[in-house]
Amino acid sequence: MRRDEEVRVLASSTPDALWRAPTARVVQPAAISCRELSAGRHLDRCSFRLAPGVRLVLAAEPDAAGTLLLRVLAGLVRPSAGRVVVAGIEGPDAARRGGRVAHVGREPGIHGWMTPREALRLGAELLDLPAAEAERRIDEAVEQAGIAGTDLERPVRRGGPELAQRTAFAVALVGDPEVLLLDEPLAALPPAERARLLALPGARRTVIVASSRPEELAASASHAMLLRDGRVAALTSMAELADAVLAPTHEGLAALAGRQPRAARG
Amino acid sequence: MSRATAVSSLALRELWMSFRLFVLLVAYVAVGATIALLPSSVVELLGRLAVGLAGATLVAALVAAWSIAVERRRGRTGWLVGRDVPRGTYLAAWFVTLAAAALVGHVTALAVGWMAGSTTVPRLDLAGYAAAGAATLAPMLAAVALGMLAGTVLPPMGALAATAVVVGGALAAVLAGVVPAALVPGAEAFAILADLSRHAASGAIALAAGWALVAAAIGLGLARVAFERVPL
Repeated sequence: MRRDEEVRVLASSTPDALWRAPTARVVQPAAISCRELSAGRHLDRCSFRLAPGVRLVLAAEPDAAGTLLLRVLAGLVRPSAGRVVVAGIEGPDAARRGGRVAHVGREPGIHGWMTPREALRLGAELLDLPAAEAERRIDEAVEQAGIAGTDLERPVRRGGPELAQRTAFAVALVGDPEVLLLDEPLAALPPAERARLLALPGARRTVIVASSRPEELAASASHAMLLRDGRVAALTSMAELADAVLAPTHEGLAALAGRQPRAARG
Repeated sequence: MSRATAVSSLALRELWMSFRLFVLLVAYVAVGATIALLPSSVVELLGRLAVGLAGATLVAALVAAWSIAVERRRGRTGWLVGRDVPRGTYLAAWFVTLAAAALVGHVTALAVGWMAGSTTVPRLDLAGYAAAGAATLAPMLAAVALGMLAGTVLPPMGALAATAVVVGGALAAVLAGVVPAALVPGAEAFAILADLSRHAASGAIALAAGWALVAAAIGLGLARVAFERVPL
């Protein structure tokens, strides 16, 4: 590298920052970078990198491995070894992420007596959003998540699992996160509605969706990954999967994993 | 509103909506009712009050254990931590909420005890009663802290069982005379309240409260350390 070359290292993985960067050498960070990550029984020296803007559908053997990986990335589970960098922030502490990472787990995590509006306002308040900006984002998230006006002031438990999941999804969107981690989200919704919602998050946001049925989300995804034996068995784009004449199913990813040399895997 | 205040408000509302606050307050109301409605001498009154407050302290510890464990299990703790609430802040907010709720009930029961004692012969000494009564707040804080520690590391039923065994077992052993009160941090405060005439020295009262506060600090410290490591 010549001394007169200007190198900018961008601390954030925000796609906007990369797209607006001046014409200089830019050290392009990954949205998510894991190296030799180990945690619990299901992650064993797992390594992979995802570029900003990737929409990844994650399949895992067993399913709990995918859940565990997302919870580690969200900072809810401490890894026993390895290095994790998410949205430009290194370390497992979720509380330092400044709202740049949002996680929607299998349990919505919202108290049943809360209304969607209360949950959204609490989410905005915890992110220190100014009042006017918070209301704007809440309105946008409500519209994107498809929460009916009549449901906004209704306790979440009275709307059943569907309202709880839509509310959790909307709260995740309020923070306008750079990285969105979704663990079997919206399972209570019809497949068509689920596909619509999962196609919504910003075009340049990095999204990982863990699913036991990756084929249902293939139309919304740009990449697919299979976790097996605690490591990445396959990580590919949907285009490459199609070129290999393999379906975006669990079996298709497993077949691709069988074709790849061991060094190519994480 | 700060994060701690937001979590405290949420915790209080969850305790109310889940009826756990009701259970806690009923425990203290039962103590007050027993004191106020049953005719007794001063000695009997103080004995019942001490046993009743010890029982209500156990209830406070069980509510704390169950609350923390259930919030973890249902993903609500993770939901908040994922929204930039530091783990330490979360734990502190819940401790303040639980302790404040128990404090209200505890002070009310002591007030009812004083009013009932003011009609007996001989009458209660206000200063000695107030000092002994205030000292019993310290084991209540220690019990809540130990309950939270159990809720941090164990699932809900396990946390309940562990708290019942440790806190309930210790208090029961002291009340039954199996274990000297001085060996259980804070239990001495209940013993002093039960027998004000024999243990009127302020030094003994302060020592009992001090040991209980040390136990509370240790319990909270361990809970904080564990909370940094447990999956949410």
